[in-house]
Amino acid sequence: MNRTVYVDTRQLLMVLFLSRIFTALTFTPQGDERIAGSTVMLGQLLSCLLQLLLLVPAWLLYRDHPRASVLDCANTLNRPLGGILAVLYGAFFLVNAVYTAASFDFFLTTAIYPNSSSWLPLILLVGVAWYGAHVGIEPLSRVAGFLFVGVLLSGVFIALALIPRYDLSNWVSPLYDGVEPVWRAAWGSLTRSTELAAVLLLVPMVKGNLRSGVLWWQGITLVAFEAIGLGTLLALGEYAGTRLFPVYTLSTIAEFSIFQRMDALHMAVWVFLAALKTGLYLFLAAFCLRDILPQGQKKFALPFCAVLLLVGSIWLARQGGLLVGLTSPFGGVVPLLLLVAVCPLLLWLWERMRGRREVHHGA
Amino acid sequence: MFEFYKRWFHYYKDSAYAPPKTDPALSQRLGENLLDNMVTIRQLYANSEDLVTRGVQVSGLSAQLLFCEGMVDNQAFAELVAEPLTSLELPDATPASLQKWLREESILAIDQKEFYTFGELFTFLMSGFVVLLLDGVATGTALGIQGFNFRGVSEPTTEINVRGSKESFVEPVRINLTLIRRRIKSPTMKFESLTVGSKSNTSVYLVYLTDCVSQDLLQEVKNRLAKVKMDVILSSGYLQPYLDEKTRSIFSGVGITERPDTLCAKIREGRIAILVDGTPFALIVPYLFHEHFQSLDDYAQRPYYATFIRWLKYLSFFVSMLLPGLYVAMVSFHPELFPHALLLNVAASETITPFPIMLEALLIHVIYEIMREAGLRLPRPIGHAVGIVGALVIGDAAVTAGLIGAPMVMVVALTAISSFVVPSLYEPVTVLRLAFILVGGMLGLYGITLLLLVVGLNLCAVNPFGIPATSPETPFSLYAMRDVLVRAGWKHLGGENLRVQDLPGSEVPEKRGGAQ
Amino acid sequence: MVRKTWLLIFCTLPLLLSSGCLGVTSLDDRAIVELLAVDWDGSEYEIQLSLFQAQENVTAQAGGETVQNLISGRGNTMAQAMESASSQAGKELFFANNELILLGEQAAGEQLNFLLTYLNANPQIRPSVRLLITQGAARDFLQEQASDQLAKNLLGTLENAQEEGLLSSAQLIDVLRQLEGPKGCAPIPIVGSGQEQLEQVVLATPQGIALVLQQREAYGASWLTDRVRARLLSVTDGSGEPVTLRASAGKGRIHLTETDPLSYTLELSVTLRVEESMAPIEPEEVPDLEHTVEQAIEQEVQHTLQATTLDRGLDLVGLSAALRQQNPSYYRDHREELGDLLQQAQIQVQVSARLERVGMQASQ
Repeated sequence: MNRTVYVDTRQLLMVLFLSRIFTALTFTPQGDERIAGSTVMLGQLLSCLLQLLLLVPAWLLYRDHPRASVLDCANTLNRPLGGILAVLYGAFFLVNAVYTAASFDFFLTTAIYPNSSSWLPLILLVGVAWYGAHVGIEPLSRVAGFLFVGVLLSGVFIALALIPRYDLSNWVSPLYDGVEPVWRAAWGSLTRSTELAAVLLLVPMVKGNLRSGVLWWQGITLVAFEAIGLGTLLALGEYAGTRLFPVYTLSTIAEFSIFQRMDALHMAVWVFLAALKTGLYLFLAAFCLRDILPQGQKKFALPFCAVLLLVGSIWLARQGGLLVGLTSPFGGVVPLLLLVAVCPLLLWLWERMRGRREVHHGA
Repeated sequence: MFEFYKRWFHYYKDSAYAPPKTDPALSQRLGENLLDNMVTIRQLYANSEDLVTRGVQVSGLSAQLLFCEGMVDNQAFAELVAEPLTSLELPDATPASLQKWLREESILAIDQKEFYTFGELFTFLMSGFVVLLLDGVATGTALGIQGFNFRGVSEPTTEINVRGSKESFVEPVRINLTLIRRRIKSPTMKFESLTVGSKSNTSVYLVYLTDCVSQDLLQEVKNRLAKVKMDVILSSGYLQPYLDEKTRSIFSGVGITERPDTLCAKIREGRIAILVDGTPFALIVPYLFHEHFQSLDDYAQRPYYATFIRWLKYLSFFVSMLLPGLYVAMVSFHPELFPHALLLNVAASETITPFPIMLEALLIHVIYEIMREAGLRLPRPIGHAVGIVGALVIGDAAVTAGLIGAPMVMVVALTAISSFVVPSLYEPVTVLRLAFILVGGMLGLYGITLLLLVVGLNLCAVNPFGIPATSPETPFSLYAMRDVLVRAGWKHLGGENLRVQDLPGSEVPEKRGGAQ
Repeated sequence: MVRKTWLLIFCTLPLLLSSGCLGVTSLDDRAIVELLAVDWDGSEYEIQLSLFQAQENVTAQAGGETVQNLISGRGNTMAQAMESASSQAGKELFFANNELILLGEQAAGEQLNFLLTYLNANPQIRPSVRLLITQGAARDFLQEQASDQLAKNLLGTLENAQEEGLLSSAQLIDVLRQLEGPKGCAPIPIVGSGQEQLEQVVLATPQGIALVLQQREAYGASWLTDRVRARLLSVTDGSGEPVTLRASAGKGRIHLTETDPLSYTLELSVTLRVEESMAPIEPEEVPDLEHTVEQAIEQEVQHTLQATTLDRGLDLVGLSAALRQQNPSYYRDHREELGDLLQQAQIQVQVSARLERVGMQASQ
């Protein structure tokens, strides 16, 4: 039996959610210039709305071609343009995979294994991500289904264990410092929402109502972010600003019965998410590269991307300043805006001008 | 780079092994001359001593009766075959009229078949049939009056239930078919016969319900079995790799059972069972991951208790796979995860033992596997000695001698007990356990997490016959979960039929079964 | 494909084995620290570590005791002192199961901010580790105690004191949160040698020790800063007979009046149970008893507020946090001089007590 790729909308939701929540677990306040927790929460809400706004051009394209990715549409309009976009999207996903791996390494060698070398965890992570990308989006999304339940249960468990620590007096008005920090927080969150670009490429692999899936994804992600932010704020208060990884600290202080600390749970969840996200982005990068390679060389796309990922992440892990810079507005949000909003919008407008054509996946 | 090794490998392969070949003489048709037929038979049979031939005159015509010694019921032969044949007096008997009499006017055996080739002759002969050859007729008649000895229907040895049936499959496939037929008295249940093995000519039966099974699924099973190119099939396990997907997975998409009631329950869900003559284990395809945690007892007990037992099985699976690795990882890399009092005990025990914790864990688990294997293979009279040795090796004596720590003994004991709760997963769990110990000892919780993810991806990549092995957990179906995480009551379960090809993620084109 | 798999395995294994495997340290090579004590003599740090001795514990297990070992280290910086102690122990120090840190009086007074920052930055030290200040040098305190289970005993004392409402939790995370937050001060218990229970609490600020609270003031503070579980109160009933009540209370609430940002109302609900009484409590005596308790608690709280907030501008009970929540603009504008402003604050304390059970135990 020849198998076609089948990813349910719910599975897509879980993959994207888990990929997005990864950044929340390793959020470090220094990177965001110590914005108050409640301000960040309001910023998340604003960011969610901005993300939905950014997806409007993609939705217009999807409405016309529900079974085609943005690359398929580009290839139909103009083959060289499709090649350029494939390179751009592929590079975007590869850079984000490198960033994910490097920030993962930074956390691991800072908080968990301070005595270890930085390259060994990266080699292992890239190896697992390679395997994940090799088996494909279906197993990745199925594993995401299990991980989703695990993450949910562990989050609830830790939240319940922290009940004695919640202090309502830690709550500060989100507009305490005015509106400007809210915008900064929203912008920072938007910078990290690289999964928006992933949606554009996963369209042909998804069965079901993609629009409702994306809406649910945004909603659940927002709820999760707000819950994490609220928990951090109420349990830690100003103490969160003294820790490099406040969310990790939450799990360290959570106690329940004989479980004196739950940072192992946090670490396990976080490693799962890091590997899943890196695997997803590696898969997408190879997917884009295959689009431009000739038939006989498509099989080298994944190994090539994996090697680049490994080399890039080992290098980036040692460049602390650059690690932060990739999430800055210029380093992060401009490419995102271009690829998520501008390119689909231009394609849609071009298609409108030239007349609509049938687009197939793999065009 | 590997060309040299490839040539070296094939050289040794070619010089010692050759692929199975079918003897072309076996497809030769029978002749009309009885003497010529007998000469050919003796040649092909290599004058083996177990062939019994008896020439007889039937209504003045020459005939030969052949059978394998010890395979025929002598009394039935005398009453049903010898007496009628020898006392037959056909007027104006000719080979054709005698053949017609055999075909249309006599019942010498319940199972009476005609055949035309020497290959079929030997197949019937070695299946315990009595073969009758007539001079002047190029057709043989096989009479099914088998009388060979076989093991009686007994209690299952690997799938023991408390409230379920105590019958299990036996070696002769025809007995197994009756065990199944007695349980589903429906004309929609079909047995389809195949022959595999160029030398063994093993009978293989496909069992399915025509109104439940997907024809595409059925055809795929047949296609895969048609690719079996072996000369001897001695066990259902020989066929399993041909039915499994190509993905190199630790987990198989083919299940096995020795219980007829379990088989009936599976085929009711649109699955196909494969019975192999000579082995009491049937294969079930497709087999999904959650089925390892189901047993027939679940459906005989109250739902709340069955649900509890099912959760116990899930827990046991993870404990048996992960506990030793987690323990090693925590002691080596994350001692802060131990409660304070426990940490002090663990530290005290580690001080007195000479081996690193990873080596200790590997050693003790390998010793346990050796003892378990020895217990399986030992003759029963001295089997109890394994228990005595085991208690010494993995017990207080070893702790007192300072070879292993007391916590490790507890870990091994708990792991061993947990692994018996889900016996169908024993093989992958055993290997994975050792892998997790290695990874936990070298890389800590980080390594265990990564390996767990790899195992998860490996499992999720399995699609037996186009159906995800992890369905209905993921892709998720709430309705189908009524028999996965919990065991819903029979009033609910029996109300509608769930077919395996209808599960989410299934790529089987034809969803609902149809009568042929 | 099978060959490639084996090739991958053979390449990975040497890599893993040669890399030192994430820096594994055997449990034998770790010195499990049960108690850390820090002293500062003006130029050098001296630390005392109570270690768990695994070997001796194997033979002492029958006695049900834990054998500990004290080692020390000195250095100009904490890192040097730790290194010195580690060399003496011959093992890597392991702090993850350490639940108590003793700070000498001089160390707490002069180096508190630095010490807290150092402890907070150490990933092994749990944020929930408890802090305790000793009168005089921590070294002298440890030598006078000379108990095999000192850490356990001290922790028990701390927990009992918290149960009885003497002080709020003095965990590292709470102390830092209060110091970093609007309160700017945190209570840390202080213990002297020969004391069987804690009687004093130190109010620490980032600059050092600001005030030493006596027992009564400490009790008064805990009504509003923490959840009191089982505080014993002795009052007299209407007939002049002594009655012992067990009081429990949730954390107090602080309200600001809308007109004046420096006018506070502190509300507290207390639940009482009769612990001991000479005679049965009649229903008509209950309101008087409750009123007596309310007055007693109000006086206690007022006394504390006078000693800390009104006299010294120290925000012990969280007035500034309430101001930040309920009047953020005023807080933002006057944050720097809040200490002085609080000295002019109008604070009204309202306690409502409820006697839950009148069941009694007859005294002798």
